[in-house]
Amino acid sequence: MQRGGIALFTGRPGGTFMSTEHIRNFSIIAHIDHGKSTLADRLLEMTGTISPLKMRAQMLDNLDLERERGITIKAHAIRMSYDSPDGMTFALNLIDTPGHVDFSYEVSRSLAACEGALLIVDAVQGIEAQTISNLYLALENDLTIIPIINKIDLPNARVDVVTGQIVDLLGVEPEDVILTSARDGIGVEQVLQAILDRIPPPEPDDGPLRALIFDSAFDQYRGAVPYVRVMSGEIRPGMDIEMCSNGKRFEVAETGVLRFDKAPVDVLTAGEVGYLIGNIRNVADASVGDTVTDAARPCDEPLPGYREAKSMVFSGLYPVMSEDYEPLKEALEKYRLNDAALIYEPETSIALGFGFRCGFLGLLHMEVVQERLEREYGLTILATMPSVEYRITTTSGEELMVDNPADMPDASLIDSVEEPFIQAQIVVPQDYIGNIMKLTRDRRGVYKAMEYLDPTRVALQYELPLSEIVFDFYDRLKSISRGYASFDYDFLEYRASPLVRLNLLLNGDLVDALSIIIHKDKAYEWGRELCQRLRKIIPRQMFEVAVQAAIGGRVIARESIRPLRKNVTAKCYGGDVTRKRKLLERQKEGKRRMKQVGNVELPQEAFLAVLDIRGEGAAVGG
Amino acid sequence: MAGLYIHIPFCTRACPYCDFSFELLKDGRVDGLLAAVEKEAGRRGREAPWSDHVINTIFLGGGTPTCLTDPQLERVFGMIHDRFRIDPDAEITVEANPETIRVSKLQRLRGLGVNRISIGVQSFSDEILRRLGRSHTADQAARAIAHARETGFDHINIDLMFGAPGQMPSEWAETLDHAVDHDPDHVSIYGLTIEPGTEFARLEEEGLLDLPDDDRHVGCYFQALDRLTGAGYRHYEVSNLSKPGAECRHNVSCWNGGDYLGLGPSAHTHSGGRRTANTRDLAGYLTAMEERGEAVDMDETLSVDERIHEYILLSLRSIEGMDTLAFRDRYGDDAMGRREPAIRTLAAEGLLSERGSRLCLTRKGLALADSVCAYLM
Ligand SMILES: Nc1nc2c(ncn2[C@@H]2O[C@H](COP(=O)(O)OP(=O)(O)OP(=O)(O)O)[C@@H](O)[C@H]2O)c(=O)[nH]1
Ligand code: SF4
Ligand SMILES: [Mg+2]
Repeated sequence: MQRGGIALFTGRPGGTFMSTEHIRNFSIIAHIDHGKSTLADRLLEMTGTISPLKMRAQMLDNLDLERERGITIKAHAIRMSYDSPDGMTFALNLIDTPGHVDFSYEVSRSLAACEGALLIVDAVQGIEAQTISNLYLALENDLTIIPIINKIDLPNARVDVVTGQIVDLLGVEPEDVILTSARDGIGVEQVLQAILDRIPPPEPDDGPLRALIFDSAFDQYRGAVPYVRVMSGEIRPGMDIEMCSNGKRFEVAETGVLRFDKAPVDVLTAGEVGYLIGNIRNVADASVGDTVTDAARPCDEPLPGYREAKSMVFSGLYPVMSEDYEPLKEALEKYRLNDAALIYEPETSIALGFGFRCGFLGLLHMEVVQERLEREYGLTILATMPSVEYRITTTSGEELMVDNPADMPDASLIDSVEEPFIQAQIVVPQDYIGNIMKLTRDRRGVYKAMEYLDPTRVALQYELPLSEIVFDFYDRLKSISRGYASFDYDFLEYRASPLVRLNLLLNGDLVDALSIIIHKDKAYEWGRELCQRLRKIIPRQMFEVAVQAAIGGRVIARESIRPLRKNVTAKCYGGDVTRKRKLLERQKEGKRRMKQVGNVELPQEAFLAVLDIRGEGAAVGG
Repeated sequence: MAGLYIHIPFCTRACPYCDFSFELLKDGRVDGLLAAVEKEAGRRGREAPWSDHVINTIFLGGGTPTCLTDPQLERVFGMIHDRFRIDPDAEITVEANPETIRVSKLQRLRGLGVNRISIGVQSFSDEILRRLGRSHTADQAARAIAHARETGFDHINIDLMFGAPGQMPSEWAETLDHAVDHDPDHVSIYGLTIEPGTEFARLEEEGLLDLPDDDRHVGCYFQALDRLTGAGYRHYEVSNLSKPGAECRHNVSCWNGGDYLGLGPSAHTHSGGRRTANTRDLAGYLTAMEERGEAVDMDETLSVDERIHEYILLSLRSIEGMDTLAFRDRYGDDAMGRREPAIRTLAAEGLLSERGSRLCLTRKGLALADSVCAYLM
């Protein structure tokens, strides 16, 4: 079935002509690892977008970090041309999205640029938590959903059961579900045919230009490069455009579509996905979610744009070398173009000097941001202990939002502390319900509801403090369910909890960057662990170092690091003073890379020690 | 006035901890070296600033210079006198290993004007000598010292090493007792350090070296200082003690920033803030001398900061310490002021003491000399 539409013919390089009727814009969405990027590979192959010689697995995962970790972090848009069996040429704009919950902002932004979504479900795993949440995101955007069961080649594939789950969840007929093996290339033609048949083409609209910036990149030579979905009107080189958020104007130098490289075209019309270049030097002028309009004929109202990503965890990012503050600032500005979920503002720390307070969607997101900043901008960055955002009411009735433990007022000035709670959805085979109950109890969770997805799988609803799940909850969940449980969450509300601020002192000096806000029942264990951990990490120095954890003025744990006894080399042999001097200068340089707190030199790992404690399942909140 | 250092890179056997520049002694190679050193001396002796200097200290180091034959040693000293103006009161030191010392050789050296001998004793325990892979016995060491005395060397240094694998404080105490009994006028004490690339480094990696821990190592150091100062030696530099007035003039001058010319492979030269060094290995040195007529492969003129760093490290290693007034004079009040917080921290931690205008390493500070100096840089 093909939907009708006014044919808007536009000239193309290569001489082919195409109307919006022959455009399909779609995302691939799924729970993590269900095979989105692999199915994208097959589509790229089948449409001849990439020659078999250049093909490699998960072709679209082009960040080093994605390839190393084998997961998709960024949404990747790519344009394919496809000659259908009945002899027509289609332009297919595909956006491969990440499956991990920390990158769901990438998914929601991609969906706004599409009319349809391929919803992939692993034939063994079945429906998991992100399957459901990503499906809802797609439905919110009124997208046509094509359900696909992938990995049917696996011997333990449960096609019937999973089909049943999908039929229940989506209210579709079993025959609407396409069966694929993205690995072996089975069912890919049906997928392509369904894209043509079921996903509606974009609506043509020759009103004033409105284009949604759904992503952005920074090009050293050409400035910020917004990726846009044109909703109405058209963009051509030479035209003056205006950014709706701030009224800034730019002359368009180039428009194009997103192939593996940017491919210039003469015009982008309504319904198309592509990029534009306009010498946009200030990265703030190409911000994701903004609407681009025609300066000569502006639109009445900008597109709704996006909800701001809601940061779940906060951490300070500091340059290890204080002179790298400005470069870090620039890097953050440019980086944010490509990762709109990152939020940051300047902050200072007694221990670390000048840096930035950053908000992330989760711990993996935080790790990715840090690593990408280091790799892509050549910086060495130190990340402080992550924290969630607390709401504090002071005795004078003032309300404060605190995402940095260092900013928590003295206990005597606090009336109450509230912490964010989330609504969690855990999908798990029923055999593991007991384990899940225990884990959530340890994490101060409140059980809400249970629902059977099929006779063996349940979806459990819990309310949990966010601080208890941002760190290692997901890993724990996987390990107690042999990898079967999946998990997704949404912010719920703030609730009062007995929370205290735990400080870390080195030789009596407060290391503000290591303070945490923690449930009072868990403070002792945390303090003890942290002190022990730091004792192992901090190298012996010329002086004894006392490591103390304290709540207010009360020390609850203490360790000491014995001083170094010997560091002296023999004479300067044969008058070789140079070697000796260089040796000491190197020692000195090594210390410069550490952070000086009072008279103590603190290596970078110290700031990560706290993360390890979480990793080992000490189950401490904070 | 200036010092002259000549490096003789030959040893009879390789010590497993050594990373100095040396080669095993083989016939024919010595003459090749001497020819090259003569060439180098000829050239330097004609050039400023060395042409204008009177040499007042000479140090023949190695390697093991005493493994040269008598005629070879004569050739070296003949060359020295030909090419340089030597102060009649010059201190002339030769390094020696016990197994190479014969009375006749010592007499010959005396005859060549050598008035100070530095003997690589290391230990008076055969067991420790064996573990250190040394090619002499305690007895040979004792005889070498006696011979040196008999042949009229007033100035005798012995090198002792502590922190050897398996060393016990009792053995070290005996070695110190022996040393005192022999009554040399100078003693150098070195802690064994494991240098990368040496045989010991490999053994340590494999866990086969039973090295004393840091506390015991430092304990041996203090034990030596106590024993020797108790016997009338004055501790004047981190690793050096002497009878009053018997300090090694050559080294003291190096540490005070004096000028010196180094000849031979790996030898270093200093002249008014410019430091150069020759190629380290013998073959490279010989080729360079052959092809270029010189063998300098490091040449640096020190920046102000580098001069300051040197000043700190050299002056703090002397027991007299660093004169802060002299420091201010040379490098300005700012350079001093910047370091004051660090000085206060080090003083508060008992690593530095202030005696009048001098900053000195405390006993605890001596064992951490490198850390303290780096902290002040
Ligand atoms: N056996 C089998 N394995 C598959 C199939 N499709 C994908 N895989 C494997 O499943 C793993 C995950 O595949 P990806 O394509 O990276 O999954 P994804 O959904 O893009 O993952 P994220 O982007 O990280 O959410 C890889 O090891 C693939 O090789 C399939 O049809 N059969
Ligand atoms: S004798 Fe001295 S220079 Fe020769 S190998 Fe032994 S320690 Fe090294
Ligand atoms: Mg992927």
